[in-house]
Order: sequence, then structure tokens, then C-alpha cells
Amino acid sequence: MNEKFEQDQAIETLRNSAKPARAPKLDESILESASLTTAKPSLMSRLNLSRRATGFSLAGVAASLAGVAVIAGSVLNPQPTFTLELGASAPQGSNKSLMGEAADSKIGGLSYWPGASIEIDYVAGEDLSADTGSGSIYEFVNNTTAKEFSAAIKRALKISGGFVTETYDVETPNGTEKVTYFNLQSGAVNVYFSDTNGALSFNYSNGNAWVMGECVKEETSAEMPDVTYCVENAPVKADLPTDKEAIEQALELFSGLGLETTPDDITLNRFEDSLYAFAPIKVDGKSTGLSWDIAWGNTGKISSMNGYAVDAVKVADVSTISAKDTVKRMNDYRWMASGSAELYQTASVISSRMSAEVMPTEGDIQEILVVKATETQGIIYDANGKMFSVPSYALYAENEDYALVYVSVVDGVIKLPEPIVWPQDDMLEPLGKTEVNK
Amino acid sequence: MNREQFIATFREHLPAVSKFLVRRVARDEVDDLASEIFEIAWRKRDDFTEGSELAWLYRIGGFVIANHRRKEAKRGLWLPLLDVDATAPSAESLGLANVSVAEAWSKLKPSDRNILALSAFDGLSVTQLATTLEISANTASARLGRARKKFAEYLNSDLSD
Repeated sequence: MNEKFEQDQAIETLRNSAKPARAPKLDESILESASLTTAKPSLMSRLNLSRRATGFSLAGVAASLAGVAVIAGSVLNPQPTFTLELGASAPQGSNKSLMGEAADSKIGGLSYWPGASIEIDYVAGEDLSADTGSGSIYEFVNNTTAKEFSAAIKRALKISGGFVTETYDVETPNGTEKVTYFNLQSGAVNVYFSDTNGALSFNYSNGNAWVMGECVKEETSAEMPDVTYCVENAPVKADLPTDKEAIEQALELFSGLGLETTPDDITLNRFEDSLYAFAPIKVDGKSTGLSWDIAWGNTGKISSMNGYAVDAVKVADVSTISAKDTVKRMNDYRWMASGSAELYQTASVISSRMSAEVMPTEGDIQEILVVKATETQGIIYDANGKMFSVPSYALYAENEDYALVYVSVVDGVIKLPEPIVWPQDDMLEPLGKTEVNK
Repeated sequence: MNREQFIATFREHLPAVSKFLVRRVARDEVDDLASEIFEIAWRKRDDFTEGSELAWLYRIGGFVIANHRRKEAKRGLWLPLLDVDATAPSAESLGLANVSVAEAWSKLKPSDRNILALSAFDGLSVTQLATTLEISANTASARLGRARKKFAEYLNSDLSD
């Protein structure tokens, strides 16, 4: 029997089997009350603006990896601005600092919901350690120029075309600064460079790496009757590289473009129609929290790749607070850091949904028990937008596998910024000055 | 969009929102959740494009329901990213009288139930599905096609047992 007919019959059976929806009649006063609600800037909006103010660019964070939560950390953990100043000498365990007391920034737990204010009280579980420790702070420093890096990437990924330079004015704590982006577009291929934060990064994507099967059924919509949409595509068998081939290719590209890595450091995540690999930028044998990554689409071609042309340079050895004490910092967003890719491999979070907004009830207080803490290096930014890797803890709530990362460096080493004030409604318009550099 | 325009625009969607909610939550929760949906719609009124209001309301509704269920389950607000697909109506909430239909429906993945419910019961077109689920029209059409196929397979398999 015709497949479409069978499906139509099945849906009709479904509809007929359901009881009629006896929905209550909603009074129009709901709309009147709703329209009396006062809009408030969301915390997420404020933190997004803070990232812009420090020159942090999301360009290097590829949200194009469907179904993979790895990149979510950088985007979901907004960065605090801070002035990192260290004592003239910082011997092991020394916490000498020139900083004063951090401002009281308690604003309750971090709420991603716009408008409503929710207080979250994080509580350390009994199993968390009360031991202090030590670690190192690293600064990410460019190890090449944007021009040289872009030329290398063009060669490695066989990209033709010229780069366009775009310059924007961005307001930072130090005043108005110019931020330059390098962009290359060649057909479906797009390479986007960012030279902000003192960390040169690139983001490559290729729309041709994905194909959809031939359309086998089209429909029109009531809104646009003269436009047809495909409602059914023929399945496409993915032509992905084997694990061995993927690691070899990743290794060749990563190493060839400047990342010191080995096959053992490359992690693969395979899905039905895509493949993803990442390798951490390491220093002293451990992950700094930054990674390079590469993904393949169902054609077997590389669909995206992201990397940083940086060296991690140690700037200080510091003492760290315990996991238990780090949990106390969870009520202050300014201590948040970005987590490394390794933390999010199996987390049940999908980055593409991070823009979702849900309205909780105003005034709710939620207590969340933190049951697990692992030492890690988190990524934070200073007031000049420079990127640092700092000792942190990846903290997990009960029944959750998604980590929130908080800095565990002792008080006094990192000066916290003043709590963010409401942003202005109008964002800065880019200058849009362009030059072609080939 | 001013207050009068907002009320005039969204008045016609009150019944659809009520039906959307009653298929997914208890009847006595519909009023409160509807209020939340329209409060968010008011705050985000500048984001709506003309003609897409219902799809947007359903999108907001998905998250409102997900958050509501999270609170009900006392899981706290750890994650800002809630599984909207998990808000798809269950066989029970749809009142599926036919056992085979109910079993086939229950076998579907949450994402398949979600898109199929939005299409079959809430009457969304592919364009509206794309807006509600924040995906491209092509992806919406592909997902809907897969969900329909899966449901038919499960149903026909069950009927032939």
C-alpha cells in the first residue's frame, strides 16, 4: 500500500482516537494583565553585553555542531570582567595581592530567565572536599599573526578567495576600542577570524559538507500558498570517515596549524550522520580549558573547524580554595568560568537551545545540592579582554551531568568587577569599514 | 506594538493557546500557564513577525510547560536549557482511547511526539513548526516526515500483532 496513504490513515486514526480537547475559555483579561507587565533587562542580556564590552567575540565558538554540547561551555558560562594583578613575586602558595575586598556582588543564583528574579541557593554536599590546594594561572598569548595564520589555514583547508577586514567600535572598560575581524567567504565556505582578547582564533564552516536527500513530497502552507516546502526527503546514507581516518585527519590539520597534540589527546564523538573530534590545548601536561575541534558532515567533508593560535604562558602559581568553599562562590556570577570541551562530552545539553527563555515565578528560592566537584582549568577574561586559564572546579548538581565551572583561586588574587549595571537599550552599530586583503 | 494592538492581535489566539495547554497539563493549570505565556509574549512583542504570532506562542508555551514541570518535579533550576520536546502530550493527556494507538504514540521519541502533536492536534503548518521549534523549514519538514513515518510503522506493526 502507498506509504503516504498509510501515514495519512495513521494520523487520521490518531486524531480520531484522541478525546476532544475540552479547553477552558480564557478571559481576555489575561491579555490586559500581561500587557501591564514591566519589562526588565535579563541577566543574560547584561552578561552578554559584558562579554562584548571586554572585546570577547563569540565568533570562535562554533554553535554549528548539531547535537553536540561541547562548545556550550564557552557560551553558556558568561565571563566576568576582572583586573588580574599579581604581587611582585608570587612564590608557591603565596596569596599576596594588591587588591582590595571584592565588592558585594551577591545577586542570587545565576538565572537565565528574562525578567523574573530568582534566588538560587547552592549547597555543598557532604562528599565534597574541604582540602585547599594550589595551581597555576596561564595567559593565552598569540603565537603568530592573523595574516600568517589565515594563509596557513587557506593552504591547509584548500580555500580560495580573499579575506575581508571588518572593523567595529566596541565599548570596553578602557573606552572605545576598535575590534577587527577577518572574514573569508568562498561559496559555502566561511572562515572567520577574531583577533580580540589577545587570542587569535578562527572558525571555519562549509555548508556543502551537509546534504539533504532528494525531496519526495512537497506541501504548501496556508500563510504562503504560492510557496512549496519539502515535507519529506529521501534518507541520505552518511559517508563519514572511520575513527582511524578521522583521527589522522584531525591530527594532520591540528598539528599542521600549530596545535601540539597526539592521537591519544584527540577525542571522537560519532553520531548517526556526523562526526566530531576535539583536542585540548595543553600545558604542563594538562588541559588549559581551550580546545581545537573539527566536525564532519554526512558527505564526509569537514563541516566546521575551530582553533586558537596561542601559547599558554604561566603567569603565576597560586593557592586554591576547597571544593566546598568554591560552592559558596556559585551565588556570585563573577566567579564563573568557561569549562573545557572534555567536561561536556556526555552532558545532556544542546547548545542550539541556549537562547530559550522560560519565565519562572518571581521570588522563587531554589536550593540546589552540589554533589560532585572535579579540578579543572577554567577560562576567564580580564578587563582588557585578555584570556586566562585559571584553577577552577567543575561542579555538578544532584542528578545532573552538566558542569558549571567556578574559579577556585584564593581571594585577593583576582579582583572582581563592580556588579554590572543595566545596559543601554541601543547596541553599538558596527562601522563596517572593509578592506580586501589577499 | 502598543497595548491595544497587543490585545487586538492576540485575542484571537486565546482558544488555540488554551487547547494547546489542556493537551499537555492539568485543566486547572491552564489559566496560570496561559498568563505566563502572554506575559512573555508582551515582553517579546517586538520579536514577533506579522502572521507568526501563534507559532511563537506555542514556542513560548513549550518552555513555560517545561519549566512548570521542572518545578513540579522539584529538580530546581540548574539548567537553563529545558527539554521542550519532553512537554509533548502523552497518550494519557490526549485521552487516546484506542490501545494500539496509545501504544504506538508512547513508542515515539519525545521529539517525534512533539512535532507530530503540533502538526496533528495544534494544526501547525511546516512554516509554523519551523518558528515554534526554532529550526529551518526544511528541517521541520524532514522531522515531521520522519515522525509520521515512525508513528505509522508502530501503529501498523501493533495492529498486525
